[in-house]
Amino acid sequence: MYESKSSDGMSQAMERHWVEETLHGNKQAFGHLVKRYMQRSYYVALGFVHNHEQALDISQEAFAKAYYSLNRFDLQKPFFPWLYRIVKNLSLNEIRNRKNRTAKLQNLAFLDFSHTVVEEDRPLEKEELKKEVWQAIDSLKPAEKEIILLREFQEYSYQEIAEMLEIPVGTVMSRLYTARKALKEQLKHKVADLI
Amino acid sequence: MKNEKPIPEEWQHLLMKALDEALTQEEQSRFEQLLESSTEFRHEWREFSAVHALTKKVRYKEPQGEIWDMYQTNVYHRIERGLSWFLTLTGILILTAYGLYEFVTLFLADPAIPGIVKIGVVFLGSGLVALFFSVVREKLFIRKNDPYREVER
Repeated sequence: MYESKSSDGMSQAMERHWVEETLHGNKQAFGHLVKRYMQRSYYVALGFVHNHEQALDISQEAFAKAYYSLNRFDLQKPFFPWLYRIVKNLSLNEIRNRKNRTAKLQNLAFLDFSHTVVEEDRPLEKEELKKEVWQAIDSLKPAEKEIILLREFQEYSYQEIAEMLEIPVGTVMSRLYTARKALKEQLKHKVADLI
Repeated sequence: MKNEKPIPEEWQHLLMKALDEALTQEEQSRFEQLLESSTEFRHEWREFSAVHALTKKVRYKEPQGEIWDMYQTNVYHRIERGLSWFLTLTGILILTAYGLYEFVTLFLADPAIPGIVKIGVVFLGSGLVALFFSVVREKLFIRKNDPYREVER
């Protein structure tokens, strides 16, 4: 889906260099950071808001916010977990505003499934499955939903998730276990067909 | 043989790693050992694998390629806009402060201007400022709470 997410020492040193250059007024250096993380940032926002246009908007806004707050960024840490938290906060703000707007409307009206595809042949079952899986994910607690999206859909490693959520790797696995268990409960009729 | 009772957390972690294909060789052996030791674990493994297989079927749709071509430019525009807003608002603030100072020192303190005119001007100015903020607030409120915002017009 997007380039390797491994945050090895070399790429982190490169990131640090780009951040320092940006702080010295080199806009091109910031462009490298944007190019490197734009897709990841977009998919994070998409996981929260389920809407292509809003995800694009939020992820771009997150970069602009990051640019203005770059002097507060800890150069000893990788860049993406920091950006992730900005994207997440903006996404949660959008969801909060959306809830205010739609207080009287059905929640489902805003569950937009058009940004996902299902690797299945039969169109009707395909749509049904897509809807059921997303509804199940949306019914999880926010922390469970977040970790499912990060692991199952964005395929981050446990270490990367730990950095983004600022929790130990052991907690990542425990939380993932709880989240998958909750998801299993939501999809139990489907699961029963499969085993 | 003594039936070793595993620490639940150990099982949870191994199960997650097994699903995500992240087990080391040593962990793999331990995982298999635990699977063999309990029907409950075997059942849980089957259920979790089924859920994992389901979620694996649903993937994000890739957006069209041209979106990424414009992405960087759009971020720059936002950065520029942020700076423009900052400069504009700072300018407005400075000029307003200066205007108020001049208004007080030149207009209100001028003994040649009748008191009734001063009161009228103060009322008019306050009314216009209040009206301006009221309209802006209303527009912002409507924009934020519009239930049809998502609807394409």
